[in-house]
Amino acid sequence: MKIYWIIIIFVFALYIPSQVRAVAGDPQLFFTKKGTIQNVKNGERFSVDLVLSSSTPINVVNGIVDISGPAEVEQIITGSSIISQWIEPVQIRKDISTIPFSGVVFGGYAGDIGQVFTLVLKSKNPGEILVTVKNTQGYINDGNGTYIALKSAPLKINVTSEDSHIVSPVIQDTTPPEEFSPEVYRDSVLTENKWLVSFITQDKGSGIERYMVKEGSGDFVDAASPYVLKSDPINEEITVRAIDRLGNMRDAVVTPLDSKEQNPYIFLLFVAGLLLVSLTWRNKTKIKK
Amino acid sequence: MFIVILLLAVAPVIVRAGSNALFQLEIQNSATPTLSTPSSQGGGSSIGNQVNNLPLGSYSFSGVSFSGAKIEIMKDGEAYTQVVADAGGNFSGLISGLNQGTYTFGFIVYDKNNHHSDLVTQGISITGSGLVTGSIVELPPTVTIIEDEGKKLNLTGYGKKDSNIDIVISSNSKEISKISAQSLNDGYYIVDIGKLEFEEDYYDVFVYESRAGAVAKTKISFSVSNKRVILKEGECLVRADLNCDGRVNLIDFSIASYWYNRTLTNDFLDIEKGRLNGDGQVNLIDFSIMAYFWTG
Repeated sequence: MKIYWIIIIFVFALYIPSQVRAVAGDPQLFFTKKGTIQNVKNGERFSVDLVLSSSTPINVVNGIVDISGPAEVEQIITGSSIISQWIEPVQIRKDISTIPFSGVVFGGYAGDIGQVFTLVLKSKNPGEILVTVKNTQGYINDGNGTYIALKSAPLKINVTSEDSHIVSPVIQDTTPPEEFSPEVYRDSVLTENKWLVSFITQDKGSGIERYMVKEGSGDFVDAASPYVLKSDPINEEITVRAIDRLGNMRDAVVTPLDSKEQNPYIFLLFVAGLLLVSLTWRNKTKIKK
Repeated sequence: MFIVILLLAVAPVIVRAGSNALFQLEIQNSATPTLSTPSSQGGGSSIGNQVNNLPLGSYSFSGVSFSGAKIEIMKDGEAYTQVVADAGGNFSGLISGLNQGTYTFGFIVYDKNNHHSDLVTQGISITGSGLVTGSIVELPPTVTIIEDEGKKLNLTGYGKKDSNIDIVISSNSKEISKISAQSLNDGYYIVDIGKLEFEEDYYDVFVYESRAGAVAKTKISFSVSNKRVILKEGECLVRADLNCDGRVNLIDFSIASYWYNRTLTNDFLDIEKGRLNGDGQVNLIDFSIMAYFWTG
């Protein structure tokens, strides 16, 4: 009888700690809704946060958001994100119902509530909404790019038949993106020595939605970093415009040192011209004599 | 006439030299909300970085390194400012004018030989006009490997003064040796990690420093090939430094982004092999390596 109990206790002791470790230690990437009530009214606008929780420092997260049920995505907010730079920016796409994303955290993130981004949703009909993040991948901040699985579970939200009268937007942001410094450089391997401009900035409100570049007096065009310049930035001013998700803008202008750098050329041309005139005049004088 | 021709010949060369020069940067603020204007709440005007009526917050940081250490501070991955540690190795500072939001501040220490530590980050959240005080940043030691007359490898750098330094050498994630050392009063340490013992392989060296219960570490790597030691240190050999300027920053990230999910050219294949994970493509693993070695 004693042996029987010892075996039970031994098996129990082996089993329970492994379960505890699995829950406490495994990194997770999951959606959470603010507040304790998981019900929303029909037509209500509400937000859910994608959160990273990990005791192991993670520096790359990747996944695909899938939303099923009576809801539509109205807005994506990345202003409070732990992501330092997006590899694949998170954005609403008309052609696909899912939202792929991947981003980098310089130096890694270890903690319980690392907000990756916020989705602003609006319920359309009574029913059940499932917000899931699939194909999750994480990489440990160890300098070797070691893969780590990120656990996830769908977030269920019930939409009641009661109509909502809430019409105000979830987020307000009139703050422009932060000041930034684009870098202009050439890279022989990348673009056969063509000029490139690289840029990055932050927006602590709604988050950066996109960038545009203007070369000289040309028009702004949509751009991603790095952007291959069509003109020679020696002569052209380059303007990079960062636009947040609510349309606030910040411009950064790269002005070449053309005046300073070309001064020697202009000076040499001037001296050469003077000498040429002088020599021509001297020759003419000699011929006359 | 000869002088004229010479001047005309030399002039374009001068212009080409100038074309590689640095550019001046001018920031313009066109902070005018134009699209999807938010509702009545909030509002206000934008002047420089002072936007809306929302109060700006401040962040106070402090930490410990070695005497005279140069600490580079990054805000959200970009170089922001520098401070120098006092004679006791302590440093501190205040960053004000921060808009409300979440920030990641990064710290890297450089020694007088320009060798640096790994990046240490601290996440904070500014929610109002108050002061957010970060916890004390324990900076890890700087580290480099010096080959001493082809006979031995010396691991050297600067840590906190009179501190215990543990060195763990591993290969393929397996620990193969562990050495303990003590830094001097100025933080300098040097440890002979041998040479003849290392077979042809890739090695990671972790330098741990413990103080007041906190452990800080810096990692450095080297490989042995054809009986030669290849050190991953120095210009053009720093991991993830794709443009070979001694830093891992926005330009490197942009270059990697350019090649992400693209077929690599032969030239870039060599770079990927030497400075990223060498699998012949730019993928999430490479971005993870870059994020670790980030210097801003």
